[in-house]
Amino acid sequence: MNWLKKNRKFIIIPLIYLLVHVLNQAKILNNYILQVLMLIGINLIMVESLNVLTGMTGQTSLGQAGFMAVGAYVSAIVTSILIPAKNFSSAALISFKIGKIGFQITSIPQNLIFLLGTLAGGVVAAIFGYIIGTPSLKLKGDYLAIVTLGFGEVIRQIIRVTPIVGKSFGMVGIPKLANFFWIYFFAMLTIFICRNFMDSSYGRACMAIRDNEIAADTIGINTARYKVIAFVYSAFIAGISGSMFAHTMVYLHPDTFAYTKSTDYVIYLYAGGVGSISGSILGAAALTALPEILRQISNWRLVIYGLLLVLIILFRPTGLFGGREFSFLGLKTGGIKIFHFSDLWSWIGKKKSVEEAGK
Amino acid sequence: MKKLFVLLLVVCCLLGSVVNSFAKDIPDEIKIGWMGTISGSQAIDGWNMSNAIKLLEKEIADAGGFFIDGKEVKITFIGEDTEGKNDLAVNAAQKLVNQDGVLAILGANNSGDTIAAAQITQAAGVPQISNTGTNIRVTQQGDYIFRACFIDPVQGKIAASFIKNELGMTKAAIIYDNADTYSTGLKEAFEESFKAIGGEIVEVQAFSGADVKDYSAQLTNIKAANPEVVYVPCHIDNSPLIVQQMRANGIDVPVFGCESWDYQQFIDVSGAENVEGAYYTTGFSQDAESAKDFVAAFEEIAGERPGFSGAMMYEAGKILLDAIQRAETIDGEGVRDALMTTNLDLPSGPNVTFDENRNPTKAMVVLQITDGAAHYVTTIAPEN
Repeated sequence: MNWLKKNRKFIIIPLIYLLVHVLNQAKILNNYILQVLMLIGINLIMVESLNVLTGMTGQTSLGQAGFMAVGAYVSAIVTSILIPAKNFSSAALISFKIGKIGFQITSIPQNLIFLLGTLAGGVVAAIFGYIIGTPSLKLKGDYLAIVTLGFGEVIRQIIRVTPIVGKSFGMVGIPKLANFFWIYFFAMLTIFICRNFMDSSYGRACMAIRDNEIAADTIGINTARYKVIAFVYSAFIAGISGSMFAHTMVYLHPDTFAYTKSTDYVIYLYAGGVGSISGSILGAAALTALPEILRQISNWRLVIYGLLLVLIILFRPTGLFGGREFSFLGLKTGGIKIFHFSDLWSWIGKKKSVEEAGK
Repeated sequence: MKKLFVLLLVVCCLLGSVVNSFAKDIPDEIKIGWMGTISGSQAIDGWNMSNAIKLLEKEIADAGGFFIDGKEVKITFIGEDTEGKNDLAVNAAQKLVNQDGVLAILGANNSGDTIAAAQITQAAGVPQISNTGTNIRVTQQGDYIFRACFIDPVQGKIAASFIKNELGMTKAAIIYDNADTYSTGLKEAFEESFKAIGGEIVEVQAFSGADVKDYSAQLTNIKAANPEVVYVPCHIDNSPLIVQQMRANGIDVPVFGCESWDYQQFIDVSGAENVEGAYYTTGFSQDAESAKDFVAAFEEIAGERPGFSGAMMYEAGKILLDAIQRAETIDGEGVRDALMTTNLDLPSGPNVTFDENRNPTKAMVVLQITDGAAHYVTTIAPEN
């Protein structure tokens, strides 16, 4: 009990899922909103993956969508061609109702195939991460960005000429195996894995490389090794996200993973707060939801979206949440401002007096 | 007395059943969703579509309202932008189906967006009519997915047969975008049909993606192969540049295009002298008698002649509104069944019906650009 009191997140996180599920079943949250929530989850995993590489290790990547494409296509090949999930019964294993709220545990074999596909997608993406990461060790900044950009485009070109994945016609017939549960599960898993990474000696080494590579080298950090670790790790997470994307959209087209998608993730990361796990969560959530909220003003949608982005970067150059972390992550690494939810109320009220005191 | 009573009872029953069969549940308002590329590289199509929707709204207003069995029903069109991105097309479909509760969806204008959105509409049982999703896979997504245009294999085949039989040319070269579903589909269909009827493909050159703006490498190879005609199955954003650079590189043989060229802007941007004598296949001709009223009405609203995507959007809308009026029940299934029995006279031609694969039976026309405007050459039925 004491442990649960200290780690309230283990109660709150499943409760949030239950709340969304119940609201969806009660028709208060319709499937459109659920779809947007699922996209937020997928983008969140992607932004966390980019955060490991860019935010923590300081390596620029403009080819993150390439890793995502690898994960998406490999997992789709596993679930639709190698072990076709449609050959297994999709009947729910357990299904019961409390009032009008239905609960079910979906078919075990299909879920296992999905997890296998996701793992395969992640592993193959990680292999690509190793292939790209190793020769790019000597590159920094813009040069590395160009290499990763080229990688993303090469992946897209390979997909375009591969008959098994439908060439440039796009891949159809992918089973719809991802649901809100799996995306929520993997999003939370990613957040906590990234948190543990950041709080470990690996994460601190990566951050040392980001802050000053020469200094990190002098104190005995094997910079080459940690950079490759960051690359492989980031690519693996991106591959997982790709698998979620493939099994949510059930249709894949190489142009979906164009470099504009990679730059989208860079924008999400910087708008949320680069280097901060909480910032990545906020950036992905806010900027995925924003274009959908702006659908009301159809023609001016992208104008307003762009304008808001400019304003965010102008007035909060460190991102919406730059340099802060949510307290529930329980980070112990120094130099990070911890943000308590209970601060929110006092923060709004006291902001003025704090500013005055600062002067 | 007893007989009279029985007779009365029978009459009542009959009347009851007749009245019952006619008293379908007619809502006060019907929402129709539409989606297209309002922004992005194919934004011209999206705007053309929105003008077609405006024309449909105007026609309903001019007729004094939309009536189902004598009851006036308010028709609301809700438009969504796909930006030409598949994931946003899925979002748009989810919003239209779940948030707005539309009865049916018109669009999207490109095949990829339609296939992506069809995963949602098919599962939800919402009929979707793509205006210009020409890829053969579009209607294979399910029995709720229709289209208002021809399919790529037919267009490629007709282009091939026109070049071989009418123009008498046997050596063709192709330049196409291998990143694009539409362009690749047309290229494959053309290549296959042209070879099958005894033509020779002397050169196939590909470029990747709409961002490519320089085609000199491909065009140099095409010039070296010395073709009699160059087939350019490309989108409106690439085609003018290809044609201009072709002339600049000294390729002066005729070019043959596809229905995405069907805009006056294509001729203006390419330069009338560069496309003089060029042919293209499309779904309808502005010169046709059946299209005159539509073209005039469209010009009045949009200030320009309708492009192919606007024209097909208008036809998709007409087909849908007609099906809603005929539907036995005003729901997805009823409208879908009514769509299958469509038989309408449209700007592109009379007696348009759907075949069992939910593709319309429409003839194709070949147009030629002369003196800076497209003119009707001939009509070719798909079976030829």
